[in-house]
Amino acid sequence: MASLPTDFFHPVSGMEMPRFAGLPTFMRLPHVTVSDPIIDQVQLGLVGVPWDAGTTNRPGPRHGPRQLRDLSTMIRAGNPVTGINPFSMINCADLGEIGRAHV
Amino acid sequence: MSDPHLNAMMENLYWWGIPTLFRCPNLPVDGQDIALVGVPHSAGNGTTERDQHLGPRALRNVSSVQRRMHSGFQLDPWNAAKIVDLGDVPFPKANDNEDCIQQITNFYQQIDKAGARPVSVGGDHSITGGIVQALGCGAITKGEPICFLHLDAHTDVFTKVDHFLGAKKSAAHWGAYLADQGKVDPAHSMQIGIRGHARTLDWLQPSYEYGYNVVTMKDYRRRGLADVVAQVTEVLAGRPVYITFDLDCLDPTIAPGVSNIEAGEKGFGIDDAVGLLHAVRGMNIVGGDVVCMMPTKDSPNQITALTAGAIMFEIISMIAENHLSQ
Repeated sequence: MASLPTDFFHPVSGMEMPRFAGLPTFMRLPHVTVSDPIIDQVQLGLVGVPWDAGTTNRPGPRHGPRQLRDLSTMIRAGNPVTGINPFSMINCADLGEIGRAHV
Repeated sequence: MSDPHLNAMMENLYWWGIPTLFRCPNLPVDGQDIALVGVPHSAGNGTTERDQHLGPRALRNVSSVQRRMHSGFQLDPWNAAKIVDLGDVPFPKANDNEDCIQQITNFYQQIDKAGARPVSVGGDHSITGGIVQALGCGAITKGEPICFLHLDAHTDVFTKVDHFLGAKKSAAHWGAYLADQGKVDPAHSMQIGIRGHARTLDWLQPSYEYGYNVVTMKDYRRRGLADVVAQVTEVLAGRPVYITFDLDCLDPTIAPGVSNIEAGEKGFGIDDAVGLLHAVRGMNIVGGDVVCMMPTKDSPNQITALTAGAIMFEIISMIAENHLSQ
């Protein structure tokens, strides 16, 4: 297994790339597909499930993952209340979305 | 789920998956034919609206529904050429216009070196200056200056003051300084659709002095599409053509989400705009951009973003068609 840069699983810093720029992934984390060998190193995978066909009242939650990807680009590295920086404790990645064989 | 038809169905759902431009793979430029690029820059034009850096994100959000065949050309552009989304130009000093323009130039020099033709979404119109500083007299043009097909309500050849609110290579200056640098050949470039409300009566004078071929919106309406297309053919034939499309050339009813919206005189309808773009079909199109997208002023149905996508799709299709015929 090729070794990855130590900050590979960290969100892209706003000092490197402005927060409005770049492909929007969850929390600006790397996109790792399930067929990628790197998946073995992922400890926490964020997955989009854009589905709302079971809704009984107001449909629209299928737009949820896109909205979260767009707006989580504002996420900070640490939690100001607990003082925890989760991305330094565990390898997190955006695993893409349910619905296609090769994602 | 391995059925290609089912996969194609998923890929057309605009809200599904990680958004890239037209659902193209996010890959490096080497070995590619066409490079789609986001240029989220808005420090080059602060006189009106400031959210133009949100343009690429808006296009990524809607463009997967536009991953289509070109019926008019009978063309599948996505298989006619190798097309990727390179991502966005990095802007570590996003509020410093001069630094951003240099970042753009550095980025597009790499694309030029790799031999891919860039189709970009801005960003304010200053990005064209950064892009053409790299492409003009570069590898893809084989050392020749760029010739513009420039559709816009404004000339962007501002020379009276050397900066715009402090931005030197601004959204208003690129048509002038690129000509000064020899990166552009104004005598073989077209500026079409000019209708901006003038602050001075001689506001077109710098364009005429540089030698740009200007067709104002009034001229266009008087002459008609076919006559202007004939002039485009005559002026640009045989030259390296770069298409720069400012969305404010369109009528505000079909493109309300633009930064320098022009009321008071009818702008292009979509058929006029596409008709003018098709004037360079089959010519040596080295790249193109769509600029001045203002997502925060768009209608809830995102018609400006969808129209910007349609324009990008025309540019992509013409370049892809050239690849197929080579």
